[in-house]
Formats: sequence, C-alpha cells, structure tokens
Amino acid sequence: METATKEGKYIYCVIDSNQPQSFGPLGIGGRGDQLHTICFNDISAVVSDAPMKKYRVSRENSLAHEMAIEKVMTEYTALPVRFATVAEDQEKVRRILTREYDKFREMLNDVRGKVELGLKAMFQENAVYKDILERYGNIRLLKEKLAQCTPEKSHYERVQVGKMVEEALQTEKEIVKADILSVLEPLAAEVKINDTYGELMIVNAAFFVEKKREADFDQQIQKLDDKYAGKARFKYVGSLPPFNFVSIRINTEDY
Amino acid sequence: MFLIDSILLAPLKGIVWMGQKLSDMAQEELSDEGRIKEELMRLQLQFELDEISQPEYDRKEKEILDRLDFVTNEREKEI
Repeated sequence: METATKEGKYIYCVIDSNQPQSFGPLGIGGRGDQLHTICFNDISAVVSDAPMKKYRVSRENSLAHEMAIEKVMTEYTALPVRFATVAEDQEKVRRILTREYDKFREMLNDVRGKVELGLKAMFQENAVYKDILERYGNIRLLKEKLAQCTPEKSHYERVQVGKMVEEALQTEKEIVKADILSVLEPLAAEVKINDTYGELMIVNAAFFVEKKREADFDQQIQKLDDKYAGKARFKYVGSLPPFNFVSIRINTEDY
Repeated sequence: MFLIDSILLAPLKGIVWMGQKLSDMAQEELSDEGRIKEELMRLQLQFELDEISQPEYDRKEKEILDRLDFVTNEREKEI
C-alpha cells in the first residue's frame, strides 16, 4: 500500500541574510533535519529537508514550525511562511525567492525591529459571577425568587436568568476589554483582535510592538494585572514570530 | 439532573451553561472545517491555561485532527 514519499524542502521563513548557514537539527518531523538557508541576493529562505506530505496542525508540528522560526529570529529579522509549505527542491525555493524578491525585501523592512506580543485576558470564574450578582439587582432578585420554585415550574424563568447573566457578562467584558486596549493600543504599531473562546475570555489580541517599547509594554501589562488582581487573569506571551501580522502564503505549484 | 442541584447552591454557572447549550443545539454539529478548527483552538487554549493534562490534550487532539482529515478528504473527493 505505502508509496515512498518524496523528499522536499519545508520552508519556515524568509530572512535578510545572504549567509549559507545552519541553525541546528530543528526540522519538522523529529528526524533531526538541519535548518539551513537557501540564498538569493541579500535574502534567504530557511528550510529543512522534509517529506512532501500533508502536515497535520498538531501541537507537535505547530511547535516545531514555531520553534524553528524563533531560533532564527534570535539572530535575524524573519518573515514567517505559512505552516506546511513544502517545495520540491532547492531550485524551486530559489525561484520563489527570485520572483518574490521585491515583495519580501519590502516586508522585511517593514517588520524589522518589531516583535509580536500576545495577550489573553480571562475573568476569574467565581469572582465575576459574584460580582454580577452583587451589582445587577434584577438578576439577584430573580435568582432569589427562583430558588423557591421547583425547576419544573420555572423552566422559562431559568432560561431567562441565564440570558440576563450572559448579557451582564458580555457588558462586563466589553468594559474591561476597552480599558485594556486603551492602555496598550497606543504602545503598539499594530493590533490584531482575535476571536475569544469560552464564556470567560475578555480579550484575545496580538500586538506588534517596536522593540524599544517592549519594556514599557511589559510594565503596562504588569499594572493591568495588579489592577484586576482577583478579578481577571492575564496570559502574556512575548517576542513571538509575527504570525498575526505577516504570513507569507506561497502556493508552490505556481513556481 | 444537573440543573436542579446547581441552581440553588451554585453561583450562576449552571444557568449560563444552559443558555449556552440551547444555542449550541441550534447549530449543526460535525459539519464544516471551520467549526472543527475552532474546536481545536479551544482545546489548545484549555491546554495553555492548564485546564487539561497533556495526555488528555493528545487524545482529544488526535480525535479532532482525524475528523478534520476526514472532512478535508471528503471535500477533495467532491472536487
């Protein structure tokens, strides 16, 4: 049944360097393939040997992709290439670099000196519901009333209270989200607001920040964390490849 | 039944859960790619926030990715 899978070049990112070099055995797939450059003019693609197959978006694969780019980013400005981009061979990678040179050059200039910072903020479950009960009198009253009825008799009201709580939660989220963004947005060159997941998440955003303002940004996050201590928790990740702001899509069949 | 006990004792979680369930039921399950990917994002988030363990994550991830493969294969067949 199994046919031999052809070997190709998995492309991680494009960097502004023309040095033929290796970045270690960090290739995707866990075979220890070397990350190395394929150069054209003053830019290079960072690639590793890898089978030309479908790559599942498993955590293992995504992390391998990300770590490779992070490793390269410790030394160079990098444009992340979309996950699971594999070209047939070195010649093809060089053709891509040649044809897209101007575009890559411009993007590299644009990205230089900036880092992506990710922030997720979530309400603390118990605290926020307690807070809503304290501050929304109509919900509190209705809930107290319901406590005295059997569920069978108050099905409709129960759904009603549920809706009211969801609305209150939504309102609270909007308020806190606006507060957080009003502090952080002015420090960022660009902001991308992503979808939130689950009922407690307030905001899920990526910030593209000049390196020289990163310390300032850290400090503001610290202040927000103090301000909302006990109410909300923050998950802050720093110096990521700019996945949310640049992602090169290469359709390898076009080259 | 979950709601009977929780409504008297608990904060309001049970009720919200119910509202959520009702809106979930209105939507179709297991159909398109976008929904499966969203499920994966949720799962990753749960793992990031230490809400689930690594083995549990791996098990659920595999299940979701299998479903994703199935859906994309079906779609490719249609083309």
